[in-house]
Amino acid sequence: MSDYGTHNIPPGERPRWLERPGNVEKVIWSVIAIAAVLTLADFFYHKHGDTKISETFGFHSWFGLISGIALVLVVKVMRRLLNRKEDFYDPPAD
Amino acid sequence: MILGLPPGLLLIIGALLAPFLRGYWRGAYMLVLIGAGFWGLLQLDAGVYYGFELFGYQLAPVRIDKLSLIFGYVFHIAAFLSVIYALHNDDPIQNVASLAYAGSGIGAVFAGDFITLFFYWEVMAISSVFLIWARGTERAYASGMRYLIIQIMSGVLLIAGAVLHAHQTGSIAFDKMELGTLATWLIFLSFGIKCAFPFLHNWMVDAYPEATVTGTVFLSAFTTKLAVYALARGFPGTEMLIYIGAAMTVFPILYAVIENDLRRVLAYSLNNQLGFMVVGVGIGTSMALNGAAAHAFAHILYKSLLFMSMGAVLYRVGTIKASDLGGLYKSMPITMVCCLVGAASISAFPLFSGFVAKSLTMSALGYEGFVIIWLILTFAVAGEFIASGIKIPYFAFFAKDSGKRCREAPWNMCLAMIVTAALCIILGAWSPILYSLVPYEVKYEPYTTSHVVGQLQLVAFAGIAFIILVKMRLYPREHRSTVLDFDWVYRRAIPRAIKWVMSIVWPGWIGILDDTKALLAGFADSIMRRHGPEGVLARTWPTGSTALWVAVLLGALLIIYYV
Repeated sequence: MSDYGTHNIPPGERPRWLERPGNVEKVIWSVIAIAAVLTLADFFYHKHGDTKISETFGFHSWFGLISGIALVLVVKVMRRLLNRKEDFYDPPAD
Repeated sequence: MILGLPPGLLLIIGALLAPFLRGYWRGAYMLVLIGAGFWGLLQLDAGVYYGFELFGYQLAPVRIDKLSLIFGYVFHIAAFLSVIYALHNDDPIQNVASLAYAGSGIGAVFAGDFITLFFYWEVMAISSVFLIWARGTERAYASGMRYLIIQIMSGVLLIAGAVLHAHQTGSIAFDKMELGTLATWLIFLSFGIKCAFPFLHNWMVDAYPEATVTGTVFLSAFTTKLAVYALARGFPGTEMLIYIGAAMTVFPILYAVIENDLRRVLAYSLNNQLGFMVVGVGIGTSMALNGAAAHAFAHILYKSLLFMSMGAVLYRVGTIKASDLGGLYKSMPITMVCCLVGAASISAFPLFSGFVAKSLTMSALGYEGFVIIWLILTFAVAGEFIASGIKIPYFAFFAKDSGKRCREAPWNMCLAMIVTAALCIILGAWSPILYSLVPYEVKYEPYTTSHVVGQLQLVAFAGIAFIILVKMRLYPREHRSTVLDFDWVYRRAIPRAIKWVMSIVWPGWIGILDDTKALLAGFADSIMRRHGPEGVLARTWPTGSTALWVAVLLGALLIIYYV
């Protein structure tokens, strides 16, 4: 998202909506707003989940957040151990 | 049955005639063939057809019931849509191979006995490998070879187990088994290979991305889902499957996040989705089996859709590496929208097919009290959203503009994608359609406030996690690389170990051979010296010395005689 921008665009093309400054931020803020509304919605209905723990307030919200962060952090460590050059398995060029 | 042929065999034999037609006639013929097979299927009531006896065993080549029908239907639909997707491709090898592969998948689903199953099992392996080799690259050749060996191995395990099983039970019927004997273990392993169990999964993530643009769409639909059917038929309720499935939902998404080749990302996410189905089969209750079957049906469609969209990108742009893509929503808007539909389905967004199917499995877990597994699978749903639901559309179509511009996908690809996307939405919005096909009766409403709000919360906050990580520059950058998976063991470790052992053993062995040779040569030499032409005992002697030696011998004889 901080990588979006106008580099690499062939000359002559007019910038699209997502490339105009501030619009990506608008998208991000709307996602956050929707997420907040969804979490607060938990006040307004009787929760009936698959398991007891999933019936607590905002369970899926914080579980989703933690899952996402944990996943990527674990992956970063894994990557350091398991990454190799792209031609790792290719037979040596004779 | 059309022309007296079982539905799968119809496609296999029909495939052999395909090369004799040209251009769009061939495509039309293939579509008509699949349509005919599907129509024939609709005419059949439950039961066994074409049963006959062989060496005292009862074969059941076509067994129709609700479980095999739901898979049979979706295989026909997937084949039909994939042929439309591949209409532009007139490579006769790929056309024949893909139709035969689809046909053998259908035949295998309806197999009522192990012999029939084994026959179609092997035809599937042999036909599908050509879709990989047709790519033409060195990597595809090697990868296809590994794929073929592993698939044939699974067939060998199957027939070995089946023969043992028949010997023990006296029947080769393919029905529910208790895991415990050597026979059932062999069969279980054979199914596990095709179902991409942990450590047995590498063939899929290795070979599927190496196949052709259209080939991978076919490949993704049949082999793995046949394995799910086979597990559901043969081992429903086997508790071990719950744990295997849970493992399958987690570790592939780790790889999916790292991988650069977007079709390999999809292969790993296929592995993750199979995990959900395997868990459903493992629980074994009617709700769980319904969940597994419904999930397989929905998954075939949305996975095909995702592979179709990535295939279209590969076809038009020439690369499918996330590091080299971005900004394609400007060039390929239709593909992008279809890809988003597929991504929403795989992430179980409400109103899409994945939601309707996954809810069944998750609820089944809840009812049976598997809380930890439920938590693991919920984590997997959130992780899958990041690893595929966001990653695939984001890196291909959005993110940093790569500067690449191309045409939209060809009309036939767009048509196939749009129809598949529509199906994903229809199945999601009207759950009774999917629920009417599942093996057991369903009294389940997926669209409860709790489920819908809960799922939306999960993906919204997983999405926020992604945004935070990207903004903080913590999300790993896509770059070209190979990621080591279990196949490192048999592609690198074992060959190196063999080379090392040989480097010690071989010179030693040569040394032993050389020493023995020298010994034998020395022995032959000494014999030659004594008995050869110049040897003491074989030389020609002058007559005088012979006479002298004869006199000495006679003298010695006289002395010994008189003393």
